[in-house]
Order: sequence, then C-alpha cells, then structure tokens
Amino acid sequence: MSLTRRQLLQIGVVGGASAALGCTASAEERPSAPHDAVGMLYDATKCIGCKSCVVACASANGLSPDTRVDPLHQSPNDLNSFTKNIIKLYTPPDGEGPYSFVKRQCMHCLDPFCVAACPFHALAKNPVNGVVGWEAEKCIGCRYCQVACPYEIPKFEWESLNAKIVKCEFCRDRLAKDQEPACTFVCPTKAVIFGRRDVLLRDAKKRISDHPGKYYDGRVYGEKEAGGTQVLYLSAVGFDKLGLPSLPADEHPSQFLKWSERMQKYFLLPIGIYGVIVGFLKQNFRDHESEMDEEQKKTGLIPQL
Amino acid sequence: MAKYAGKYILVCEGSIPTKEAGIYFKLAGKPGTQLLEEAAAKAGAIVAIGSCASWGGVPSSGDNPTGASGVSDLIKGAPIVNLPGCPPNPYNLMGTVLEFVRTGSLPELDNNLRPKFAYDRLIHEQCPRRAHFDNGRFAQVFGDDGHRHGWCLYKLGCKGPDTHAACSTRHFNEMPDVWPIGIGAPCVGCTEKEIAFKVPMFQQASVHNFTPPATYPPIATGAGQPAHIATGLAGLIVGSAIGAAWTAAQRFQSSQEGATANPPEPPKTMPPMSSAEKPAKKTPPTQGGR
Amino acid sequence: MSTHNQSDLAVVRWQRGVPVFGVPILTRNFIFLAVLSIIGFSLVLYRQIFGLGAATGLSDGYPWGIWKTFNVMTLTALGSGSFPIGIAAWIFHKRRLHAVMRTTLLISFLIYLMGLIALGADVARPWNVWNLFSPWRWNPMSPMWEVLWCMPVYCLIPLFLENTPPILEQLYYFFPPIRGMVVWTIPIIRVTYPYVVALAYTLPMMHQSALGGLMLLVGNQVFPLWQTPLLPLLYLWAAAFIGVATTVGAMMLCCLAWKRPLDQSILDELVQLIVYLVLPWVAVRLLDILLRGKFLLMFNSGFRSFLFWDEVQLVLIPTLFLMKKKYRESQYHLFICCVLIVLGGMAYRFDPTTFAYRPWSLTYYTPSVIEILISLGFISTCIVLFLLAVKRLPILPAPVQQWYDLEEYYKRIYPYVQMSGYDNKDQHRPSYAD
Repeated sequence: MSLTRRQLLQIGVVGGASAALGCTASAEERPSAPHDAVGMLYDATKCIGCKSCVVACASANGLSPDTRVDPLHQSPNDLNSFTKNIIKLYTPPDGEGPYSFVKRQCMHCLDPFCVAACPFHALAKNPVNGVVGWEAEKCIGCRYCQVACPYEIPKFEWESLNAKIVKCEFCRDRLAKDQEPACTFVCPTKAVIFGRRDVLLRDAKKRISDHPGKYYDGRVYGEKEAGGTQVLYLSAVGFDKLGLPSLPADEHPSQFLKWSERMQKYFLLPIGIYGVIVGFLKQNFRDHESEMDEEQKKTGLIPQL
Repeated sequence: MAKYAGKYILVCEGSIPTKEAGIYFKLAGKPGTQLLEEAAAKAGAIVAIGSCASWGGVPSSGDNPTGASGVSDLIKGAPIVNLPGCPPNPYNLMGTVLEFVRTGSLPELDNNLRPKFAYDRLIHEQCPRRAHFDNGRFAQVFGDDGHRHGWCLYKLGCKGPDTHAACSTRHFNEMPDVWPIGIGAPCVGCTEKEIAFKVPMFQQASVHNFTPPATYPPIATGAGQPAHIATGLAGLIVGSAIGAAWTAAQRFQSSQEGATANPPEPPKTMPPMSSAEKPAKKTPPTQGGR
Repeated sequence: MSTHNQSDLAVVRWQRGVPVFGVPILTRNFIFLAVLSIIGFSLVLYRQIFGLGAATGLSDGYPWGIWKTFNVMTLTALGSGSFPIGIAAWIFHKRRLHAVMRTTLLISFLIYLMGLIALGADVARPWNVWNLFSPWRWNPMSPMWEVLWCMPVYCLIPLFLENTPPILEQLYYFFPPIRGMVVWTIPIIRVTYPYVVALAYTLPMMHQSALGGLMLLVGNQVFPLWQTPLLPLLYLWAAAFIGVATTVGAMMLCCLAWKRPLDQSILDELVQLIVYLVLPWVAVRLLDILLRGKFLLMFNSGFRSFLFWDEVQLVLIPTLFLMKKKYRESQYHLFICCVLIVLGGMAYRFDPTTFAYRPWSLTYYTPSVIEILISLGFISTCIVLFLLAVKRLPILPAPVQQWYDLEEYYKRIYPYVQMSGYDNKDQHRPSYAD
C-alpha cells in the first residue's frame, strides 16, 4: 500500500472538515413546542367510556364504521384504517385493583418520529399549532412512519389500491373553522379537553397538586416523553398498563439522527469523500492504463477494464 | 263532497285492485279505481292509512294477482300522506288530521310520503331492548332463556334496524308494550314497502347505522398467527439452498482431492463440442466490415 | 483434510474475462429458475392489481415484510462486493483484484436491480415516487430518503456504466460493423471512468449506512443487542465483508460448475480482505455492547441471545479458520467458510428488522406464500440473468489461454460468426501457466 503525500493531505483535509462539522453542530436540545401549540388533556379518571368521542371522530372525519370484528357494531379492536380514535379498557389481570379507560389517538409529538422518518414530508408538523398531518400527494407508501412511531399510531389501508395513511389529524378542518376537535367537543364529562398545550399542562399539574395521590406517579404523560407530546394524559393506573410506552425524555428523533445529521450536513462529507476517491483514482487509473496498454502490446487483445 | 270541495280529507283504507279494469273491487257498480278518482279529485288532502293503502300491502305481495296498488300509485299531483303500518298507529292519523285542520297544510313528509314526526327514526334507535343488542345478548330461538329474559330479537329476524316507525316510543292505545317487540315478537317491518310481506319474517335485517357496542377492546391487541404453509415453504427454500451449498462443498473436496492425486494437464485443445450446444439465436453471417 | 503437497499443481493466474463457452444456455436448472422468476413477476402483477393486503401477510403492527427486510436490506449486502474489492484494487493498489472486478460488478448490478424492483413492489403509492425529483418536498434527514435516492442512482448510473465495458467488448469482437463506434467510446470511458467509479464507492457508503440508519428511529423496539448508534457503520461494514465473501463463493461455484481453474493468489487476497474486515467488525460490535452496558443481555435473553451468538460465531469462527493457510488453500474449507460468513452476515442484516424487532403491540408476522414466491422470483431472476451474462459476455476471469480456445471454438462451431480484433496474436500467445 503506497499512499502519496498528496493523498494523505487530502484525507487530512476531509477528516478535519468532518470533525469540524461534528463539533459545530448544535448541542443537545429539547424540542420546543410551536408558538400556538394546541393540545388535548385526557384525564382517565374522568372518562366513563361512553365512546361518544369514537362516534364523533368517525363522523367528523368521514370514516366508515369498522364492522370487521363484529358485523353489527362499529367495534374496532384497535386503531386502524377506519379508526382514528378509540377507547380501550384496562382490566387488571387478577381482577383486583382499579379499572381504567384510555383514549388513544395520535400524540402529536413535539419532535415526531413519523415526520423525521417520512422521506418527502408527507407527514409534516404544522409550524403554528403543531398538528401532525398527512398529505396524499407526497406519500409514496413506504410505511416507514408506521415502523418508526413508538405509539404505533399511523395506520395503513392495506386493502385499498389507493392506500392512505390514516391517523388523527386533530380535526384540522374543524380547527381551521375555529372549532375544537370533535372528540373534545362531544365529551360529556370533559375527560378530554382541548386548549393550548401550555395551559393544559398547567391545568394538569394543578389537578395533580389538588389531589395528591390520586394520579399515577404524580406526573403528566406527554410532558417529557420522547421530547414531549401535545396530547397529555393523566391516569390513576400506570401509563404502561394503558399501552403508553415509557419513553425517555432524550430519546427523540433529532437525538437519534444527530450523528447522521452531522455527517450529512449540506452533503459536505459525501462530497469530500467523493473528491478524495476521485483524487486517488485519477492517479491510480493512469498507472492502470499504462499497464493495460503494455498488456495490449503483449497479447494483442484489447484491454479489459 | 260537492259542498266541501277542496276542504275535506279523504281517508282511504285498503289497497285498490287495478287489474282487469278494477273488477275485483266494485261498489255501487263502479270499480274501486273510478271511485277513488272521483273522491280524490276534490279532496283537500288524502290520507292513505295502513300499509295496503300506502303501497298495496298484503294483497300486493308475491305475484300480486289483483294488481293491488296504493293510493299514491294511482293519484298523482294531489297532497297525499301515507300512514303505513299493519296496523297503523291511530295517533299518527290523529296528528296528521289535526295539523291539517289547524294549519291547513300537511306535516313534513319523507321520500315515501310518510309524516316525519312519526316515521323519521328507526325502531332500532329507540328500542327498549337496545342495551341487549349493544351488549351482544341475543335470543337465539323462540322460547329460549334469552327470549324469556327479554333479550334482543335481532337474531330471530327483527327488522327494527331497517324499519322507520315510532312504535317504540308511541305506544298503541296508550298501553305500554303493546307492540311486537314489546311482547317478544320480532318486528316485521310493516311500515316499510321493501320489507313487510316481502322479506321473510325470520331473515336477519341489515344494520345501517353502526354504533359502538357496550364492550371495549383490551389494551394490547397483538395479532397475527404463524402461517404454516408459508413457514414450510420458507424452510424448504432455505433448506434446499443450504443443501445445495453443502453438495457444492463436497464436490469441491472431491475435485480437489482428485486434482491433487493427478494434477491436470493444462488443456491444450478446446473443450469438446457439446451436442446440446445450440446458438441461442441464429446470428446471420456478418457481412464484411473488417 | 487435504494434506497433499500442493506445489505440484500448476499455478493458475486469472488474467482475462472470458465468456463461458461450450455449455448450453438452456439447462434444466436454468429453465427451473426462469419459471420461478416468471411466477414471481406474475405475482408482482397480482399484488399490483389486488393490493398489498391481499398479497402479503403485513399488518399495521408489522408494516415491513420480507421484500424490504430480506430483498432490500439483506440481499443488497451480498451485492456490495464491488465496493470493498474496488477500493482495495483502486486505492490500496491490490492490482490483482481487478481480475474479479467484472464478476463482482455484475453480481452487484443484478442484486441491486432486483432490490430496486422489490422496493418498487413494496411501495404502496408508487405514482408518488416522482417526488424524488421535487426538491422542495425532500426530507434529506430521513434515512429512507437516502435509500430511495442512493440505491437507484447507484444501480442505474455507476453500476450500469461499470458493466458496459464487457458489452462493448463483445460488440467489438462479434459485430465488426460497429467496431469503429466502440473504439470511439474508449477514450470517453477512460476520461470519465475515475469519476464514475468514485461515485460507485461514495454512494454505497451512504445508502448501506442509511439502511442501518432506518432502524435507529425505531428506538427501543429493536432489541438493545442490535440497537446502537453505530448501526449505520456496522451495517455498512457488514455489507463490505458479506459482499467479498459472496464474491469468493460465487467465483468458486462458477469455476466448479464450468470446470475453470481457480487462481489461489487472488482468492487469498480476497480472503485477506475478509479477515481485515471481519475481525474489527466483531470487535467493534462486542465493544459497543460492552460500552453501552448491555453485556448481560448477550447471555440472558433466550432466543435473542442465541441469535446474537449465532451471528457472531457464524462470522467469526470461519474467519479464524481462514486465517490459516491450510484451510484457505483447501477449496472445501474455503467455500464452506465463505458460505458461513455470508449466512452470519445476512443474519445480522436481517435480524434488527425481524427477529430482534419487537413492536409494542406484539404483533406477529409470517410472510404469505405469495410474498415468499415473489421474493424467490427476484432471486431467481438475478441468477438467470447472471447465467445469461457469463455465457455471453467476457465476465468470469480465466487464464488468457482460454480466450484463444474460445476463438478456436467459435471458428469451428459458428464459422459464420465473424470474430475479429486479433492483431499479432500468433507471435504473442503466452504460455498457459505464465
């Protein structure tokens, strides 16, 4: 292996440049909520499981009822391509201890996994109110959002030829008309309420301090999980029992992709590597060419590249 | 009739046979069709009471041998109210007539000319047995335990989910539970032209407005089952690939041992012509072009 | 096993790509594979008509099936041989490795082409793929974007161009009318070659690491033995040694099938490359797990511990064997070791998306029969095209002697096919063993 001084110099320049890039990249930071971030606060202790939110969601979003499990009822067994919002029931395995309902829909993360995953911004976070919405004409159907989402929210129309991603979009049509989402609008016990995220967070913390010991762990789910979400949960039973995964506050996409982001800032590193390889090759190719020409003289056969 | 032309209400009961120039029903020597036309010509409003007068009812079912028709099939351009039902609820007639008397106009009607105040909702939506439906408690056969406990009659052929009528909220003659479902008989859909006397009594109806049941899905709903054929196929493919690799390895061993025992002469001539060898495509002789 | 002294064997040198001649194209195996690929492509049509739900076993809880996890994420590693071998040949001056470049480039091109088609079959809204040309919609930070861009570009520009010289050469020898045109392209190729080849080494670095980067976003749903910030690096690295081992295995199989001599010196260099790549890879992988404090998981997580050790040992033990000259020079051992390394590497590339991936909803996934047949069809197509190519194009390396044999063979069998392009061949015919 013989590297010339010029080649070593090239390597040094590119290495230094990439190291510099890595260092200049911004330090660790928490994702911040958009200025007018809307939010939802769901208090599982207030929910009576009436499912009016499920019905209202389906009719507000024009979803046909899911009757695949039970042909007589709108009875989805989970969020799916017919269901953007669902009420589930936690039953303690031994039959003792508290039961709890839980309402599941998109969490509208502050740093959404699906948005980081989507190659063409088909899933994008509204910069003003922070709603994560989907746009048909950008989606290529790679389903990376489904793989990436830790809450397993985006659902896919598997049976359709013009398959779409189905997920709660915070009733963005209603928001545009200054109406609140259908589910919070119809909730009879105000178990789920709509408002600005910061206001709701204050409200949730006040409920916890007003009723010490009532809420699990004395914390709001969604305040810090995976960098924070715009949908907040209060519950008397453990969040993991309600199917809400425990996600550390610093495990969010910009953290996961920190290094690849630095590596690829403005594609400087790939372009640099390309330049170095071209440099090497041009020189070595000349040697190779002369060798090939010699061979041609010897054998009379045209050289093979 | 002449005196109150345009003011009286014609209440018509029973279907009108139209075949053979209406000879199946004659009154005072005139066929029913003619009588209806005469009476309807000057009526302020026409009320067809009962399923027969509304669309033909029982006589019109099957082959309809007499050509039985409802009032609205024969009279066009007149204000007609249908009050189907077998029997129809008398309150519906009273309400219609009172509204006409008081305001001079007919109540709001639906597509089948039925007054909306009585026919705008499905039996199913207001059914006293709805909770059993939502909880999945169904009477399976007549007289079983569920039937005795007053469970939902859907599986016995109740047409409640298909039938627009007020039976479940406006009791007949003000006596509670005096209606089919109240006494444990499935609804036959007597107010619906497409159902009553056409769809078999015990055939299950189709549900139109799906609502959530009273049950809840569990938190974790992991799904999917191993597909045995596919697993077998995958195993077969992987197995045959590994088998092929193993066979190749054995052949390497034998060829190398053979080669080591008798090192091959470097081939001086070309390989023998294989009889199987055929040019993939008959290339025409290339012309010139040196 | 083989304890014979091998010095009495004639030393064989691979000097030149020569088409495989004297064997029929339409063999039984070829027809079998062609039927499999036709079945596969008809089923792709079925999937396009009836949708993903009808054709696959995928579900919302498990949205990626074997087309992505096996055909794209695993098999493209087999096709990555041209990248490390090329770098070794061009940048580290391993001149002898140029002899196998054509073979490994062909393998790369075919596997990537089939990977692309698999990706196309898997994508559910293919009409929106044109967004690739709408820069205002790009999200370059998404690993998927990188895969979607780099893979087609890599396959259709550098790999395709690198595979044109054998075709041009064939035209040069067998179609004298356009010989002038072919000669005219040679200077163009020579000027542009370094730029194209450099692209061929930059792009795999990007997308092979991006394939690993795909699973970074999945976070804890990938088992911690596999989930690491180094995943992109390890994926790229694994692709490199799997690709080399695949090349060795494929060369050996071809030489066995068509009774061609093996050039032990080149195989030795390739094996050395494998050793240099595998040992640090294993070390980095184990160190990474140690440093992340997941040491105990290597032993106490049941099936996943087994999978982990299975991967590491399948890769490591054959490599240790190959470090010994005795085993390296026994074709039997060399072949088995290469197959095992490829299997181990494939397992590593396959597991993070399948066995080591546990969605929160605990959904199971088994591919449907249609899915498997389509996947098999893509693989068969690869082999079919490879067989066609090596029998018609000067791809597989051989001693230069075989080129003259080829010429005489053609003169005898197809006298009407005019071969041309030999100047002074009689004076310069080298000896077989050189």
